[in-house]
Amino acid sequence: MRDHLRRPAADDPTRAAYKEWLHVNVFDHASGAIGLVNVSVHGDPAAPASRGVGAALVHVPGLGWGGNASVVSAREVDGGLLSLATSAVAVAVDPSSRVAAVARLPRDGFEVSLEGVPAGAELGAASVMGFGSGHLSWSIYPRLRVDGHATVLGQELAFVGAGGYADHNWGRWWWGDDAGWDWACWHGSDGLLAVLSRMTDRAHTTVGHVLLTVEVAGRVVRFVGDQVLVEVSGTTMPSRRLPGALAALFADRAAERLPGRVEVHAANGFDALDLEFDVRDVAQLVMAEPTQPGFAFLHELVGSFRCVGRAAGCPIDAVGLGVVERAG
Amino acid sequence: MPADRGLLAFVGALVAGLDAGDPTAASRVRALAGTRTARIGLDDESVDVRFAADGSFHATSVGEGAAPCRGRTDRRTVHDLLDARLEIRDAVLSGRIEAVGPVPDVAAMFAVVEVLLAASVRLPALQSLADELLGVPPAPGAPTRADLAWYPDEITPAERALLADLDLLADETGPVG
Repeated sequence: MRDHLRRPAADDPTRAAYKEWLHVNVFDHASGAIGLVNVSVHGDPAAPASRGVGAALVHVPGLGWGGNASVVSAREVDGGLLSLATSAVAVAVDPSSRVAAVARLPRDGFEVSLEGVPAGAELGAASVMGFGSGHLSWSIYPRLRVDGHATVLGQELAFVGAGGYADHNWGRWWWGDDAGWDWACWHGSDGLLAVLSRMTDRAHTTVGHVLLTVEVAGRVVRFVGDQVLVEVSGTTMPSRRLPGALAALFADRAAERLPGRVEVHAANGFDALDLEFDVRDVAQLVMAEPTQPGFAFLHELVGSFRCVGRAAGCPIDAVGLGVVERAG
Repeated sequence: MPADRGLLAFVGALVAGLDAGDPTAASRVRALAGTRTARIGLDDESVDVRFAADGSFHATSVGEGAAPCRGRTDRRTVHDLLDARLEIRDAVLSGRIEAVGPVPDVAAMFAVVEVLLAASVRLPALQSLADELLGVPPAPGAPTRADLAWYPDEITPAERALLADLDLLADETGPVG
């Protein structure tokens, strides 16, 4: 797959609404740790108020969340062909050969270094969707095999052959638009990968385009629209909220009620599966619009899942780790 | 405060940055503050702040007598809040943020802080002030307990159950953090 950053041209009249990020997840089935590393740019990259955010979080069972979000001027974000880096957090992608993610947050006693190589099939070309007042595009990279290490809350973790996921998002919108999404990535210890995306309104009361992509035994199966049913139940709340200034501003969102369990049922006439995901913990990231008043909340729900069914002629009975992201 | 800038100058720079960068938010701050005087403290410094009728900002060294409304914290608490290691709720419940005064005055003081925080997202001048503050390491201190209770111990289970039935508990599932 070919891909590159979509930084706005100097004469792009929509550059103030520009957003872009590179995102990596790691799922370490040996320890149960689940991590994310994300570097993003919000607003015209040359405008003084625009911001770059490097977020790195790892959740360790029994310990909780380690990591933080580093917020800097967008002008301090170093961008390459397909890489974004602040002084603390960096993600670089070569879609055909490897993905690297590094974060060093000494004030949090946190460090993570990941290197992933493709271990699965191509999952699809870039897609573009209407989103809020503008549009959102994404490229999704093949399932990764990740090696690396992390220091989280005083615990050293070594990742050897862990599961991984990476994607690239870009577009034009304002944080605070009446728009949101549900996205999820589930990685089975046997190599199963399932990626869900659906666009919603901010309150998650209406649902737009739904896509569930499943990779099993090297083959890719997609479920779309009403072939996918998503049900949520139970309640969890964030135990970690970032960045600090915005968490303080939105103290009323500290007890945000989020699902404790997510079930996905999919069938397309040939293939069918049922996936049950139990949420272990939640982190809340507050996104601020640097150009005009507006905020959005991204919730990262981590946990474990079981998936049974059949896809591409292969029976599925997998357990593993996953992340569900609710944005709005 | 940073070694080269006292609280008096820091607060002045904060208001000047808001005035220059977001006049609408600056007007909102003045409307919220009204003619109140508040005494704000950080570590061992305190200043009295107020807006005059013409909107001009006045920050002065602490004068004689008690101020009707006071807010105080320390630099370590500010660091912990900005670094996302401490929730506002826990800072207040643990006494690391102290706000004293008539309810409308304290509410106005917190509302002014909210406007400043919201505006700072779009104001590099205010972001620089935050970076300046974070650039000076605070004195070490004990971590704040994360199991602080919103309600005092003397609330009985029956009373708590009644509040829950009426959906009046501030946080039904316990502390966050």
